[in-house]
Amino acid sequence: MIMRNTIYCLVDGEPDQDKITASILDMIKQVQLYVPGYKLVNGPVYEGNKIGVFMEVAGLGDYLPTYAGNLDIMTAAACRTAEMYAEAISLGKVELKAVEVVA
Amino acid sequence: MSLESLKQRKIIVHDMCLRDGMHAKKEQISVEQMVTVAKALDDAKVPMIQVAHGAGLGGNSLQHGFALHSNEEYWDAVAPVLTDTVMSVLLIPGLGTMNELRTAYEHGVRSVHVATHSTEADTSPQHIACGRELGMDTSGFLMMAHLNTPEGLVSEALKMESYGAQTVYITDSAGYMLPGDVTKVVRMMRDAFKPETEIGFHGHHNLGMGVANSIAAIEAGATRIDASVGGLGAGAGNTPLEVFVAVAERMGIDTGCDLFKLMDMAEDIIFPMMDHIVRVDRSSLTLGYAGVYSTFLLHANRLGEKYGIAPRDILVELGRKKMIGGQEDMIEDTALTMLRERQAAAS
Repeated sequence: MIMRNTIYCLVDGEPDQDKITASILDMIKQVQLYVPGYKLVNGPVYEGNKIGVFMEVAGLGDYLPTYAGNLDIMTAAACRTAEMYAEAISLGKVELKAVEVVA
Repeated sequence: MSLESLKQRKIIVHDMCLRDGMHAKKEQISVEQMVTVAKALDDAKVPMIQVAHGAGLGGNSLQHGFALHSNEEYWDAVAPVLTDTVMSVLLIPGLGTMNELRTAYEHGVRSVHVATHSTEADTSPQHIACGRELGMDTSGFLMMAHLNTPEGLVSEALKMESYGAQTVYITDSAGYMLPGDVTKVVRMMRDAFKPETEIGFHGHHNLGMGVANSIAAIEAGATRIDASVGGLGAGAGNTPLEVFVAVAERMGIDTGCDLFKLMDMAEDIIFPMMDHIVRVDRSSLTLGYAGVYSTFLLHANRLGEKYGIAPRDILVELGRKKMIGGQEDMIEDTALTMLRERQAAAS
């Protein structure tokens, strides 16, 4: 069985369903850029001010089995974060300072 | 507290009304009801009672529901009315923490079931050690036991024993096991354990086997039985405590409990508390038949109604997927997937 994750959220007041759903779908697309196996299975489901989103995370299967998507997504997210830094550095938006190396 | 006096009993009965019963009440037992039930259990000489959210320490969550009150409020109300009865708690490592166990001790809890899925005893060593350090009566609790082989259960039970558990429970969370299954695994555990390690059995009545399985466990060497008066618990309920005590008495098994007081308590206190009649019915029988975690019952009933799918169909599918305790989110997910597939097939 592939890794499953459910995200629950409580919002203040009446949820704006269209806006929240659009935002969730947009974020899923962004994550899929670096985790292709990140997939919405069911939802978002609205029940009062509670929202449920039912995800599946399949790994790439290059080093670990595909069912271990929870491990893959952490590595992939770290890589993506490093890439974002690299992009920002090459555009001159960020300058990293060397840290003092303690022997 | 009288942990010492427990040792004089041949079989220690442990009531689950105020923990497993929380599932049957959607976690909505009031402090007043807790006190009334606890007093009656103490008066009927039930040696141990469990008091907590249905999912134990750390159970208050969107996944498991929110109780009317915090565990601390329940313990603080119950502890002062107990004379000889020991108060216990459930701790599923990862859901509950060792800090919460220490807090429980400060509020008068003196016994703990450290619960893991039946293949995951290795998630429990720190929590079992913590219970022992606090001086608590500490049990390991192997849930959904039917999903492991007898050999596998013995191997997991031996791990818990090695971590310091004084008792290890076979926990038939789905009410799926039959007396022959129980006899076999308990006998194997008895042979493998140190003589001083106790064996417990926690049954659910989904196939009407709660009492029979408990007796089978005792005959094979178990000395602790979880049950609840009137069967107030998840699914078709726990082993009905007063029925177990009556059968035990007929068989000459000493529980030390007052049968008539328990019968009166079931009729006068527990039955009127029930929001639905906790019994073997279409959905709860399906739990036992399909091997599904008993806590899923009310969720499946509610979601079945919400999505127009027979709860039995949802439960059978959850059994097929071998879903375990803690995967409550997969009930709605499964219902939604079934709904989508049915709509696709119809169009």
